[in-house]
Amino acid sequence: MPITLEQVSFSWQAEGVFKKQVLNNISFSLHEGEIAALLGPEGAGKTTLLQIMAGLVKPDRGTVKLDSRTIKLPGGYDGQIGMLFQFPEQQVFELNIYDEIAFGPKNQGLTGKKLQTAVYQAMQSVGLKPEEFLERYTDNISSGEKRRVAIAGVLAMQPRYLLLDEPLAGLDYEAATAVIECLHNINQQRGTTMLIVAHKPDRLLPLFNRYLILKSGRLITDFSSQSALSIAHILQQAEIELPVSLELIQHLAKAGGEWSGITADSDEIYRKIATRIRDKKGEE
Amino acid sequence: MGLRMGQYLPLDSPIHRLDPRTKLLVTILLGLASFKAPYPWGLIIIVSMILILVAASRVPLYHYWQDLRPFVLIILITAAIQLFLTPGDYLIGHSPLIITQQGIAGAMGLFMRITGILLLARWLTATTRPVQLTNSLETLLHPLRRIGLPLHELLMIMTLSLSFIPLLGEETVRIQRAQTTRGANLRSGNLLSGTKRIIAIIVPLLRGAMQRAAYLAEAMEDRGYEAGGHRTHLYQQKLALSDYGLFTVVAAAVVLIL
Repeated sequence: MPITLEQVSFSWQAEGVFKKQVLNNISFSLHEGEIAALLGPEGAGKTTLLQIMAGLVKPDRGTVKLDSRTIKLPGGYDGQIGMLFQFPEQQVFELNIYDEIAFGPKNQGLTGKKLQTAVYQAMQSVGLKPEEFLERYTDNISSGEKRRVAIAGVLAMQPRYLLLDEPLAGLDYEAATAVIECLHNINQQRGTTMLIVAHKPDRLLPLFNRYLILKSGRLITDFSSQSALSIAHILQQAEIELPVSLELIQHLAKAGGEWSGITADSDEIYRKIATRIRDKKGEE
Repeated sequence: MGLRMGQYLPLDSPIHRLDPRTKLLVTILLGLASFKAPYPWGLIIIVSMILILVAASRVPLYHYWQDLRPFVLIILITAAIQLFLTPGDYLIGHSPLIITQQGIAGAMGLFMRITGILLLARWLTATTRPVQLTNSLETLLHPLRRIGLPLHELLMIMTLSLSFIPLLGEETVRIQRAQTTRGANLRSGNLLSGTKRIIAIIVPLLRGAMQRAAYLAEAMEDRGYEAGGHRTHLYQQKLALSDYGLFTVVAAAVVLIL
């Protein structure tokens, strides 16, 4: 069953001279098993929208429904929606890593071996070795590691919906790869639905099967496509900075040749370009 | 979310342009007068002056109401106690809830005094930057340095403490949200689970506050702050004709009324 937003509006400071409309009449449904990107320029309202969907902020108008039920705030989702905050410092609050990751599963009633397994699995899925990190203090790890701890804390609860705010920010290449693989796997294995906010979505592009674009608090685009050229076109129209791979394929398409069948996976794009160059050299 | 209680509102008004020392002295004078002014006419004049200052600040009334709202219940309860429990000339009601003429005067007076002082406090903080307020206090209390009081350091501690209060509020909301998204039930439960919940919030809150204080100290030292060192001010204080005018009018009114 989907999570549905119906005409959701929100403003900071309900009245007065500093009133700022953040979200304006947002309506869409997130269907089971989807991985959707929520894109838009800074200040478009992406983070606020995630907070409303997670039941942390009450909209001024409109409703958020989960399985056709309007949810009571705050946190009326019973752990069905997991949210990763924009900055791990906003999320990590326990003294050591084990307690931090175990916080959610404990609230779900897990104890003993089951609890330990949930924590270990979550850590491994984001590339954190339990034997190395389990007892370490959350204040004594790097920001990239803290980001992974925050993700593990959410994954350990096995939520049906994941709302992720910049999941790859601050991660090095290897850690980012581990997180992308992890997100792909839990989507495939458990059918977890995801809405992912990303400023530079380059490496996440292969995951997405839907794009929601916010601008000045309005949902200006909602489209589904895998085609690199279509995605590049839509992103450009929404004035969002194109990932390098999409920019490259767009230039190549403008220069001529058939590039329309390529998906928005940078690895695939570079592979196809290399193949074409090789073929061209072979012809010469 | 939105504006914090008592936050400075950067607007353009004659009050915003006044010297912060004038606003501080006017606040002290009118605040004292609100307590001491005789009911009704003395108090009416003082409250009217406060209302004129509030209107001249061009801060929308909503922002005053926003900061007044948490005190409404306390004001009403206190006024009701005055109304029903003040002995005097019988007017209406049955024992034990009897309203007397003195009771009405007491309740009205109390209502006007507390509301006036709260409006005045909000007027000052809405139109004056905290750092300007601290500088004004430092200037006004300057003579105390002669008896060896580390005035600047004390005021710096005061400013930082005041700025930490809303931050602690924000930090509490942050921890509550982080726990809510991971299934913590922050509402229902018995006394024991309620206590556990509070501890689960207070421990990271204190840890975070101490860490923030350490970072702040480091950041200040990195930028050359030194206890006891000579510092210049970004906002230069300069009294204008309007400052002398307002202070004279308020001081004269207060002296005449008291």
